[in-house]
Amino acid sequence: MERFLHLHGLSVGYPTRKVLENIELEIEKGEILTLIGPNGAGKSTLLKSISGQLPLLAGSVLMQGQDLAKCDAKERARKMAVVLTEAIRPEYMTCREVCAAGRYPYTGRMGILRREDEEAVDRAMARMKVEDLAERDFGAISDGQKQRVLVARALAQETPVLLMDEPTSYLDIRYRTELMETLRGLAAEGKTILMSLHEIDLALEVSDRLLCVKEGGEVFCGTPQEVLTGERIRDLFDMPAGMYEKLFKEKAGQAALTQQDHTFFANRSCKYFPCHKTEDTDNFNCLFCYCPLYAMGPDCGGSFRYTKKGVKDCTGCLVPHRRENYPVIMEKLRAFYRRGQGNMEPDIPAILETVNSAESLADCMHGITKPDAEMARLVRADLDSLAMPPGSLGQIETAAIRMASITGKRRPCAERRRIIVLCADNGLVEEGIGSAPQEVTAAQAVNMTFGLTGMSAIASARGDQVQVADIGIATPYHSDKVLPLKVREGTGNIVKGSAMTRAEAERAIRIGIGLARQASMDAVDIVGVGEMGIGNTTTSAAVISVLTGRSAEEVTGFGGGITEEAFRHKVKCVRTAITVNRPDPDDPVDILAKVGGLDLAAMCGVFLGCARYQIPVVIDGLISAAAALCAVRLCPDSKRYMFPSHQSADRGYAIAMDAIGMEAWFKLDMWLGEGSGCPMAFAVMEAACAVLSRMATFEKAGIDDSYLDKIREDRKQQGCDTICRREAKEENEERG
Amino acid sequence: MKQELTDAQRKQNRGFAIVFAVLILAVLAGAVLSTALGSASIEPGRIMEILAGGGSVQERNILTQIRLPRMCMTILLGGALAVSGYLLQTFFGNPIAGPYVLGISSGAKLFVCAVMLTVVGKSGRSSSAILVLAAFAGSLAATGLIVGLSRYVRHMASLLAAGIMIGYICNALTDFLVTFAEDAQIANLRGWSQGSFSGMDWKSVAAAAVIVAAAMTLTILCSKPIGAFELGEAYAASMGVNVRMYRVVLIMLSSLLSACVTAFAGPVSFVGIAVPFLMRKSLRSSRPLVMVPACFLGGAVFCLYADLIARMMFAPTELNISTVTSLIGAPVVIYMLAVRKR
Repeated sequence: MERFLHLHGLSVGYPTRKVLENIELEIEKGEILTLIGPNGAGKSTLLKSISGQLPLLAGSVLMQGQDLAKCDAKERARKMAVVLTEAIRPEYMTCREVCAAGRYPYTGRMGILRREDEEAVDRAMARMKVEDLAERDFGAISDGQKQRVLVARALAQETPVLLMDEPTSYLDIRYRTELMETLRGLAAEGKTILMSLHEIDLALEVSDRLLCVKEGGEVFCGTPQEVLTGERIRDLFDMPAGMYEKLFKEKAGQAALTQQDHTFFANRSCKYFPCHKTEDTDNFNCLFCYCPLYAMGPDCGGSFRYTKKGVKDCTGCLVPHRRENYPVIMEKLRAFYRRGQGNMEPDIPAILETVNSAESLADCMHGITKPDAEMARLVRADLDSLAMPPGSLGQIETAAIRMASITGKRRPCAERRRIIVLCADNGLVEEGIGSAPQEVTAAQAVNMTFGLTGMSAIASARGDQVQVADIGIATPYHSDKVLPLKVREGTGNIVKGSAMTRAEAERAIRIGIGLARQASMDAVDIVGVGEMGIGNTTTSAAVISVLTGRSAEEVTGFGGGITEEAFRHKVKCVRTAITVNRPDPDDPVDILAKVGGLDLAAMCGVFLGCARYQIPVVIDGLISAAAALCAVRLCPDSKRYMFPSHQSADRGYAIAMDAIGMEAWFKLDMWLGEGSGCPMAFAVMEAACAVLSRMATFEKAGIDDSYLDKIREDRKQQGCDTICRREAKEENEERG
Repeated sequence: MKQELTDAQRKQNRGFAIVFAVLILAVLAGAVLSTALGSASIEPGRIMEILAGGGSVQERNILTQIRLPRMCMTILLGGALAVSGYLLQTFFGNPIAGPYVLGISSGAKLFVCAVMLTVVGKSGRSSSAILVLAAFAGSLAATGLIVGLSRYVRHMASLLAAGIMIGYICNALTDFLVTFAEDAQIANLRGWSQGSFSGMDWKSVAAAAVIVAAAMTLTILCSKPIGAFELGEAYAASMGVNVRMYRVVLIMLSSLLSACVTAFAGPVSFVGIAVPFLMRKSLRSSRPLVMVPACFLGGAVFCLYADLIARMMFAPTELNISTVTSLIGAPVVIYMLAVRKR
């Protein structure tokens, strides 16, 4: 950006009093520079001096090299338009006429407006949304409307520079925000904007730079980040102790974030640093050489692929990886952060506490009870009384009954929904069966906390919470939100030996139980179980193979997307792992320890914990099903707390679910993992709760339901409802 | 909203057309009536006949030497006064700004008084050349003072107050001079200071016409900056108006117009204040291109009828024009002040 406006050695003030002296400032084209400062510091004086209303005491204002003082009034009027604080009282002027006055420098001798003038006025009025005021008398509208008309007038003047003295004075919050957006648009089109604002938060939001004018003539110019991190505002307004902290602490923290260039955008300790696409380190580098914007859809505008080094080779980004784009990217990330996650910062110490004091596996399993059958019967009766053909809502009704019997609430709710994502690495990747480099585990774990991955994007759009836990990530990363529950850095290579020790497996399970307990304490209504870990489809295949006795070929799927050759290699690994380790098919913990993973173990713990704390829990895809199978084998009653979601396209899923004895609810040809099936399952469960709590009974609906009596009779003869029937059948099987 | 006009604009244009039509008709009617009526009434129908050559010499003389010049002068000066008032009101942004209020008329009166007392021999109401020049000089002197002050004064309100003070000073000085005057001179001065359109000759009409035409042309040429001033000086400056220069130009134009009136007819009050107000109200617009001609016509109408009343009400005694204009004008101003929304 070239230097467009140059304030050179400017001293401003009045003949009797110098207000500011020796101001040296270069302003770029299309920049928004906002003056902030206490009343009387000299902001208006400075603006009036730049616009020419007040004579300069010293120095000059140069626009593109040309000294404005040497221009005549008309030339100046074509360069600069103003919006002032003084109230004007024109007689019998319509708002359109006031706006049209802005065309003064362009109209002929008699001031008649030509067509292009009229069009300019139309454009300006449309921009400020005052077209409907056009024919109204200026004196008859509100102050805020007058202000907008005056801004429109300045816009109609179509100058490269716009000077505004407190343009938001009379505007309500909506018009204030709209004005700021309009200004941003104008700046993007190349208009340079100088203004003074009283609202600091607006100034911080919209400005490229802030000019802090302090009483006594001290002037500081910097970006909003610099102003915040330098705590200039406290000094500027002489705020009493505590006031600045209360108002700006959060903003300052966010600003500090952008300054640390080793967190989000450059991992200097990454072995791929710097990205081989960039030459100099002055440009920021991707997070683990991994651009977080790729998942942002149209915002990114580009495509990517992995290079041999494992680096994302982004092309065609709309927001290229340059330092200037820092603020834009940070803003986008902040917006995502704000939108998702139910905006909770995890209270890590408290969560660690809870997890560390979780029950042991044995105690947990001991504490799992069957859901409340009586409640099931009551809710069945409730459903039958609802105004619909009995059983016509099918599995939604089933879900409703199950949720009620699990939670013990006659009207269960699904307001707080959490997907717990367990992340861990597998040593198995050194066999080359992973679909991506191992760093992706850590990267995606962090991205999940920002709602940037497949599952978390859906979750954040729906308002589901996402809790990400590091159970065993092997590569370094930095995040405030991923729970640090690492048992060890990645597991061992199962082809060569055990993944982990039994103690470690139990510890991981306990962590899962602890997370379920945390969910219970947080009054979470339903839980989904997701995972993240390169290579875990292989470990899941191994676990399923052992638990079900099926061969490696039957249970191994394409995982994260691999070639035919890689697939054969994967099957071989699974087989070898089982052969080498010889896990005990009746001891799920042993299986997990030998050929499983930390993520599988922790997930198993979550399933058990949810059963223990009576929270309905959703099974996601292949890996989730494998863990669920472990849980069911450890404690059969835990199955009663589980709900299915989608039918994973991976082969092993069907086998695992068959072994559990459950069918998927829907088939969407998905195989992403991460827990991505859970949000949709949540929707079904929310539907179930809504049906119970909102539907009208026949009585309320004013329908005479005697026509259904015959059907009810039939069903009674068939014996109870399907749930009761099936549960009765299962109980018989167990006993028998 | 391209070249075609909106409904609102069309409605406005229609309003303008109506107002102007009414004004022009009123001027014509007033002109005819002024010419026809008088101590020696002439039927309107016969006017053209007499001018053509018929009728008695006496009648022709009355028409050509007295009535017609008077009527023309009334139109010219009435219009000039109104436009002068409009200019000052726009410039000061104040509805009670007028040449009278700013002390310009008082300055003229002071100089006229001084001349009357020093130059012995002239009497009566005839606007002799010397009195005319004296009135001019006085008006311009007062104007010069105001312009000079405007350089040092920041606010227009202060300038207005300064003008009022100048008016007081001039009046005081005039009274001072009057204490040394003879009764006859006092009577003369008093007669002059009430203003009258009588005793006009074609020479005066010609002189006045030139001055008024020149001033009006300049004023119309300045309609763009005048319109800009409607938004206040600060915005006008930001739009490219050379505020300093136009300040002077506007005041000078206004003074020229009112000096002209004062010189030939003496101080005539309230026209400058009431007419622009009435015109603005009926036109519902403050656009100079429309207001200036409207004020001229309005002032002409006002004075024509006021003069008519002054002449005819208590014929053959002639009232002073200011009496009539004040009696009509003052209530209008009071109404205006009372009803103003802000």
